Amino acid sequence: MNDTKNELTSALLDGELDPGTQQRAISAMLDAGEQELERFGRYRLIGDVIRGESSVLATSVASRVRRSLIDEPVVLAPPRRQPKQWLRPVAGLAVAASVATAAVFVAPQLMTQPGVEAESVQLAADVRQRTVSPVLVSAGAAKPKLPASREPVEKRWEALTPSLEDRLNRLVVEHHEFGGRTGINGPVPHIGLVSYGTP
Amino acid sequence: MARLNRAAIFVSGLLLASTASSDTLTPYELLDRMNEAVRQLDYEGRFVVQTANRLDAMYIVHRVKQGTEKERVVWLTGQPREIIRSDEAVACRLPGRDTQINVGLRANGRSFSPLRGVSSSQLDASYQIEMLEPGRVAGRDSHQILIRPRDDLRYGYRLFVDQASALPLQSIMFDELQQAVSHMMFVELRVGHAITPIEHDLSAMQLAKADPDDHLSVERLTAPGWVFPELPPGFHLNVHRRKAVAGGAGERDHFIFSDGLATVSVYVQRADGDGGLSGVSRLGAAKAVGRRMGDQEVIAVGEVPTKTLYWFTQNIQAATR
Repeated sequence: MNDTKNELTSALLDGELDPGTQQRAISAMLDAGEQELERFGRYRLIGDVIRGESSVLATSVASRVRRSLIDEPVVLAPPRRQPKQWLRPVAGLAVAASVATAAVFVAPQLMTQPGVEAESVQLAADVRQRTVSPVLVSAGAAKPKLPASREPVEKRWEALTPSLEDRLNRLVVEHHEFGGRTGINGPVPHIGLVSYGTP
Repeated sequence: MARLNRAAIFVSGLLLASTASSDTLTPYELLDRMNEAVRQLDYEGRFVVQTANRLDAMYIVHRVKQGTEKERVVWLTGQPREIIRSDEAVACRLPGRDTQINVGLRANGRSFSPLRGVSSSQLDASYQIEMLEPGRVAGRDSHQILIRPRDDLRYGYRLFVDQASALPLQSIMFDELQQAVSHMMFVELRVGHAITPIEHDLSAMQLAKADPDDHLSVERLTAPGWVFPELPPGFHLNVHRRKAVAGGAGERDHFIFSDGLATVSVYVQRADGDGGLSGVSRLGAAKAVGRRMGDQEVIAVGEVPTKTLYWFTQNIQAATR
């Protein structure tokens, strides 16, 4: 029973379920209560941390999962397997080291109290550096030359030198201005500058 | 004058006849009307934008006078930021910077849409587009469109388009993992005559002056010095600009590619002394990928997956003359 449940959770996280099954799985999870949501949240958090994508700092995983499931758009793109293939070997490694991983990465976040978030953010950033960077080494083999399917490490604009940052800012503004306005991202393309600076 | 008349006819038609024909609109017609509406209507409102873990509230007022767009966008949260568009330039005031970014507008002053350059069948090759159940955003009834990419070289969109004005009320851009990349939503919108007359804010409008650098020559007719032997599927070249770089640092080629919805800019210029951009960087939903080619620097910018930007930077070569 547990194996079936674990497989279903894994398939849900990997986007392998068809829309109908996905909807039923989510509904069942919501109906099952806090314990089930905590379990799903831990699975997802482990995957996020391993991929270096987690900035999750919620004190209650269950409440966050419940919120995100309820807020999830009803219809989005169909599941695609290709981009997730890289995850398989990593996921295998993750299962083998699940106890240690959970202890090192998940437990501190679950125990994080408001006001001590900075340390957790740094932890996630460190994991990103260690786990994702090696993928870049294999980039560029196929034609056309592309990096591996995993997105490489990204530096925020703010981390660049002021001179380069100014230059990139101008290029982005020119890109928005001369690239044309369709409304697809909102009324004005320059809202892409939204994350500039600190809140 | 003919352009003004066409704009007036469009606006009148948009506002008066939209409801009557909304039931029979195809998603392509709706997209077409939306990208006309954002440039040609007068509107004012407040909206929120979420990218990654950041949420901002913004105010916009957009007016069209004598065929020319004027616009002001003000950030209501965080450090003060502002975008002002006059008939001469667009100015961006960003925090922590001594000077603002001023970009002179193109000679004819008319903004265009990459959607105009593609047919519905071309769009179909890259996206699966369908109408969903109508929704309600900012107290206004809206059409809902789902745009799903057919590959992982572009993002998808879920749009709520105002039934009355065709303005985008809500837009969610999502990646191949169905994760939201950015999310914009109006919480208040006014359209038509009752909006703030932006021209009265002279202090703001005076900021939007063309930068002296923008008066440097732009060669429009010479052939590009660079070619892209293999473009990502669905993308085609929309615009090529060549612009002198300030300080006698040579010229910068600017190529603009689009699949009708997603747009990518590729810049090529002599490498600067700041070390240049190597790898990926991002700002909000926009990403940039840089690469050195000898003494030249290639930078691709766009709101597309990183691999698409890499495609462009890795598939550029000097043109043989």
